[in-house]
Order: sequence, then structure tokens, then C-alpha cells
Amino acid sequence: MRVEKQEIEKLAKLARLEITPEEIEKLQGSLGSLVEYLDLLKQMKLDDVEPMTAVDDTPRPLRPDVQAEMLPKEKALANAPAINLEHFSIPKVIGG
Amino acid sequence: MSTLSEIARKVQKGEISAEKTVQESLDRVAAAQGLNAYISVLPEYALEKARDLDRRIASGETVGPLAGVPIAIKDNIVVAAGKTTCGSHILENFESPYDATVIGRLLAAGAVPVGKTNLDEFAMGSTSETSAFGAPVNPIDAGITPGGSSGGSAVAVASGTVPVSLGSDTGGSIRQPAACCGIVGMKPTYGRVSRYGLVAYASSLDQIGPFARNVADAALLLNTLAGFDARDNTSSTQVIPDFTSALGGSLKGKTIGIPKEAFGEGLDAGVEASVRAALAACEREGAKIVEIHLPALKFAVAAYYVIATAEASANLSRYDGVRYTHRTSNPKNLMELYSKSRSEGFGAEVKKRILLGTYVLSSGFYDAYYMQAQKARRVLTADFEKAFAQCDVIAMPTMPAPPPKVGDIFKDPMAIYLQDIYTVGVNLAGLPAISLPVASTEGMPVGLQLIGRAFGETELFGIAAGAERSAAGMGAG
Repeated sequence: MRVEKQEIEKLAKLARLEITPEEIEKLQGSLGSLVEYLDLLKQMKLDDVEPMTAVDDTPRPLRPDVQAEMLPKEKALANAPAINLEHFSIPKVIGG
Repeated sequence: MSTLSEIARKVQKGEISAEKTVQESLDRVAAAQGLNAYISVLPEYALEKARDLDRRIASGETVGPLAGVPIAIKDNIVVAAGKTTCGSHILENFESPYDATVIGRLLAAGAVPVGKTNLDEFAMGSTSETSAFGAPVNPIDAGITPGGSSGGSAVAVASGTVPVSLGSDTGGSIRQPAACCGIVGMKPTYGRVSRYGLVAYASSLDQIGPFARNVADAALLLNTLAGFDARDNTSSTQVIPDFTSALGGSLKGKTIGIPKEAFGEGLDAGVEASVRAALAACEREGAKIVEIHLPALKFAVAAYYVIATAEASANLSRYDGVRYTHRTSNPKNLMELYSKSRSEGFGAEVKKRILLGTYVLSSGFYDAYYMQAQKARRVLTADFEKAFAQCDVIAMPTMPAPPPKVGDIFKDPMAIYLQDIYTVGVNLAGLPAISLPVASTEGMPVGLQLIGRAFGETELFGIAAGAERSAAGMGAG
């Protein structure tokens, strides 16, 4: 099975990925064989089964609602590719 | 090489300094550089920690149970020293401002991280060949892969650079490389160990665990790693027993369940012979072997790849080029900043899994794949529960075939994914499991996997130690 080119372009857009035509060509086959394999799940009769969203859903203790030690601002910004004063910096969003 | 408790005892008594112990480990790391097990080494950091331990011992302080033990850390677990790359270009310059909870626990126990180990990019793979920094080399045979995704951590122990290391296991990423490298690898129960500071791949499956040369060292290391952490709300509040307390026990009266479904089509004859011989040795030591059933096992790989990639597509959305990752040069607008930064930073396997995760979550496919996989997960978990009414542990091979050959993953990725058949179900059900090296009939490493009840690690380690002893007896006899 091959996944349609338009489908991959749609997925890439949703996932914020820029995919080259060569990558799309490869993905049509490799994603296709994966999806085809996943269709195995359709053989299971699961109408009455509750989906399992967590292995263990026993409630956990919540932290007290008090201010805790925070990461200092300079450390939080240290890995940023671009900063402006005390903020992460990005290209202009409005009025561009 | 000494066991963990021997190292810690000698260091504590002053028979050998922590500095010398750590320096020797760093020397072995340098000598084994060609194996590419480490992405980065932390010599100054490690020696400083070791000297500090020596000072505290000299002043009469009692230090922790892992005093002076050198340890290697998978490079998806953050240490507030050096870099944490996750084997990806997108994080190649990332320096963590904080320690993962497990790192804090190791340091408090006196263990000394000496370096960060190689892995499949974002832990996505089972051969370690998707690492952006080149693949690690299996010290047993350079033509076979060391397994993955924690391949570097397995090689670090198998080549003797450190006695123990940490890995993470989302679908087999500790047990499978342990099997490929002929060592012990253990995945604890989901919730047993805090994941605070583990870079998330699939949050409902990920778990940190130990690699070691023997079962006792893995159990001792888990004593330090386990426990509730307010910073990880999925960590469990269950009491932490002494995981080493059953290590000396006999196999007499223990029941080992063998799933019929795991010993059929698709299992390599040599692997099967090795595993059956190891189980026969357990039987001679008094264990009872019974046949059990896991009918939903054949759906495990499909359910796993739906759930893992769906969660990954959400988890990896944080790598946006804004706060701490690679950023493309001169983006025209914000959208281009996101998509170009991500596309330049991620490798092909990561992109493929993000796209698959996006696909199974997208409108029109959600019910058919994601919902169906979550239902299949419940059925498989119930299969395991039923099986444990008949046995104390479940045994099967860690992998259905010998370790993948170098390069095979790029020729037929689907065939390699299917080799996760025996490991992924354990993650879906949240159970603890261990892989032990067993005698191989064809010179290739083979892993015997033992699976325990949820939070039943103490008994699992006890039976695993018994299997380890009987396998050793088998070799001698």
C-alpha cells in the first residue's frame, strides 16, 4: 500500500514539518507498509471494550499549593537560539 | 570487575579511593572510544564528584550504598553538566539546567555519572543506528548491531567501561540491547521510577531502568532509582521493598509460565533452542514450567506502534526552534521557523514516526487506529493478568531472532519493527521484565526474558537470579 502524496503533505503541515519531494516519495511506501500492518488491529472484535488510557489510574497526591523554587530566568533562557532582553525572541507575527 | 557492593564497600572503607575508581573507568572509556558508546564524556565533573566523596569519607561521613560506582547515563536523561542530545541534531547543543530525579538519587547514593551514552534518535529504534552521531558498535561482533534504542548504555557495560548504566524502555529499549550485547537489562513496573528529566517519547509507556553484568547489581541499582517523586505524577506511591531481598532464594516451588503464542511461527530455531535449554535448567533446579496463553500478543506490535507514535507526535511538538533547540537561519515567518527548524533538526525515522502518529490521531482515522489500539491494550493487559493466576513469572525470548545485522534496518524497517513482538506487550501492560543472557547455540547472544507481576520486582529479581545460577550450572555441566 502507498499513502497518497496529498495525505503526506497534509500530515506534514499538521506536524509542522517541511518534507522534500524525495522524502515524500520514500514515505509513500514506508508509511504505507506501516499503515497496512496496523490494519491488523481491525481484526479484533473490541466493541464492548473500554479504551485503556493509562496503566495505573489510582489518584496520586497533589503538591501543596504553595510557591516552590523556580528555575532562574537566566538558566531558563540559556539554551534559547535568540532572546530579546528577558524573553524568547521570534520573527514578527503581527503586521508582517 | 567487582560487583557494585564490592566497589562501594572498598571505597567506603578507604581501601581504594573514589577518584581512582572513577579515573580507571574514564581510562577504559577513552580506550574503548572506537565503540562509539558515548556521545559525551564528563571527566572533570566525574572526578570532582569522586574527590568530594573521598573528602567526605576521610572526614568520617557515611556515604551512600553506591559510593564511587561509575555509571553511564543514556543521553535522553538530563544531567546538569555537559549536553543532553537525545542522539538528535535538534538538541545537539542543549545543556540541561537541572538534573533528572534519577540523577539526583544516584548522586545522593554516591554513584558517579562518567558520560552520556549513544542511542537511536529520541529513542526511536531497535538498533541504535538512527543516532545522529553514528551508531555504537557491538563489542561481541562488529557486524551485528548492539540493539536499541539504549545501545550505547548496553555497549558501555558489555565493554567493561562501567559496571552499570541507565537506559530507558518504551517498547524494549533496555531489554533488547541487553540481549544483543550479552548482559542484563531490566525494565521496572510503570510508575516505579520517576521520569522527571527523561526526555519523553511515549509517556504512557516510557520507563527508566538499569543495565548490569548480573541480576544482583541490577536489583541493587533499582533500590536507588525507585520511589515516588512529586515532580512526576505518574510515579507510584507504592512502598519500595529491598529489591535484593529474594536474590538468594531457590527456584523450588516457583512456577514459570510459557506462552504458547510466543513459541511458534517466526521464532528462530537457534534462539528457541537456547531459551528452552535455559528453562530446562530452571526446571532441574526445581521450577515448575506451565503452558499459558496470551492470545492478544499477536496484536501487540500494531497497538504499540499506534500508541507510541501518537504520543510521540504530541511530545515532540515541543521542539519548535523557539526555546531550546536548533533554529533555522533567517526564517521568513513563525510558521517557517517551526517547520524548517524541525525538518533540519530531526532525522528520517523521527519524521516518519511523527507523521504516523499524526495520521493515527487525525480526524477520520482516530477511531480505527488510536481508539482501537487503546482497546487492544486493555485486552492484552487482561491476558497478562489471567496468565499470572497460573504462574509467578512469564518467560519468553527477548527477541525472536539473533541481533539485527548492521544496516538491515535501512533495507527492511518493517522486519525489524516486527522483532519487537516479545517486548512491547510488557510496556503496554506496564509490567516489570528483565532480559538475561543465556548460552547460545550459534555463538550469537540470546536473551531470556522474564516478566513479573506489576510491582513484583523483588520476586522477579529472585527468580531471575535463580535462572542466572542454573544457566551458569548448565554452562559448567
